[in-house]
Amino acid sequence: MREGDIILGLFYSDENNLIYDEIKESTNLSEEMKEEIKTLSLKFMGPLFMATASEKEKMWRIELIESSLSLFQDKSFDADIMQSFFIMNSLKKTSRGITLLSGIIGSPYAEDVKVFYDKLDKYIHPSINQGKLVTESIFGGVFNWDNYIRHKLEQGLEFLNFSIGTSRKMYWEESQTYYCVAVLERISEKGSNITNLYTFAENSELRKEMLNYIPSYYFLSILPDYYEKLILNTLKIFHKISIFPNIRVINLKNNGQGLLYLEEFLLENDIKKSIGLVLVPISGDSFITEKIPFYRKKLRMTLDRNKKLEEQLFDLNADIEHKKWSTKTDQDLENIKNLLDKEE
Amino acid sequence: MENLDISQVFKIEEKRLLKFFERMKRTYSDSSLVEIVAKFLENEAIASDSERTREILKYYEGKLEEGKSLKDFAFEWIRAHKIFREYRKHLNSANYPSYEIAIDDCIFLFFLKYDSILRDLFTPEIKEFEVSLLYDLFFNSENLEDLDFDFLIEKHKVKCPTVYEGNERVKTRIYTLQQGLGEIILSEYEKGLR
Repeated sequence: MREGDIILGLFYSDENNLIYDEIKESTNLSEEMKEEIKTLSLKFMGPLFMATASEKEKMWRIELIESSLSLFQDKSFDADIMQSFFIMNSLKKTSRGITLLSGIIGSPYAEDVKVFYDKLDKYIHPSINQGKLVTESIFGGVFNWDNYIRHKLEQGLEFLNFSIGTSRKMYWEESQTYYCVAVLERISEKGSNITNLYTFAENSELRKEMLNYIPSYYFLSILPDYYEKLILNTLKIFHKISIFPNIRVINLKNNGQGLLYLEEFLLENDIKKSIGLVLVPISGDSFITEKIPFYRKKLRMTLDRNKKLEEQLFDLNADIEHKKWSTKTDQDLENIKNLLDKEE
Repeated sequence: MENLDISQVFKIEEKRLLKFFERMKRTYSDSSLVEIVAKFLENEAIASDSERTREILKYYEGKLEEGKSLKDFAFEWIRAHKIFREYRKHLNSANYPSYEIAIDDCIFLFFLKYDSILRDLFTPEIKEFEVSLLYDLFFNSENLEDLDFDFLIEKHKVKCPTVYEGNERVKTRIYTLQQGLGEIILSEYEKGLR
């Protein structure tokens, strides 16, 4: 495997919101691209800060974003060897505040994402925080935080790098059942992007009730576009120009609550159509829930058989109305905020 | 590495061990619990029935959680032995490019989960150096009899302080694992390179 076939980055934000990063980069990057790399940390952590600073006192955090990668049609001869790209976020509350550790991984293999996430969340992140606390208590004012964090991030990066190429396993989430709260239709054609949100009627009690299970309809409607664009730009920075990303999964968590965004896509005649589902793991007789394979199959059938999305909404959730909420303009997004995210 | 079923690594034959332990209790009914457990560990080829073993048992007896006894401590020592064998096999076959990755990966794969199991034995007041010392005792491949117990206690007190913020104790179990096992894994890693 060529050295440049892997993209690896770790970004750490401490209790004072200072961000540190460690990125494995190939050697022949332009100065302009090196400058772009320096801004990556803020771009990847931006939505995390947004989520944690939400006015609603909800501590939603994006735990994981997994994207598949596809070859541009005209680039098959100089193809970049990369199969998966994913972003992991770990958030820890300490007595001094919140620390965040984000990892980006682009790999030539289909990776076991959960293993990487567990390594980040259960080992690397606590190792950084605990080491800092203990070392500070021993050395006091002599402790050099900058050197320490850079060393720890480098060590964490090497640890993740070693794990690249492990076999893929089935995730426990595949046996969990979910309730479909919203559907996103994203169409991309010759640089023009349209995203439409389908969900409950604005005057429906369900719409209001579901606000307890999601960060907000507005946040969800912009999330996949934001990250897909960010991953595409990141690939470009690392010279991976023959491939483009397709969001597969986004996992969000808020204390004990979870939310799953699942997406499938189809590329035909230079038009890329993606359909994504916002799923929450609710239990209760009044909610019809299904497992992930059911939703994936529905998405694939809709796309592959060129079925109209409106006709599929009933199977996904009979309570979702056919009304399209566009996200094209600022006014469209304001409408979503004002009409769908209102609590009364 | 990925074919290793980690859940199997942590299983011990509890029913068989319990039966055997009860039999030993009946056989040595005039002996103290420390003496019985020491003989039990010798029979299981974990540690010799020696002054050193009894010293360790007495040291940790007072730190056990309510409802736990030296019998449970002995069972965890047996589990540690099993993990030790598996981790060494894994370490020798894993081809780690550096000892730092070896330490991180072995702790993540084998010892993170074991740490949760082990800490359940003790009261929450157990000091971090006492846990880190226990790792040294359980997983050090050197002969237990050759270890200077008092020296080890002092060494781990320095390496692994228990940290408080105000009145609240801070969780530092990953740090403790790294301090308790780092040198041991490094030594095994270097042996494997030779």
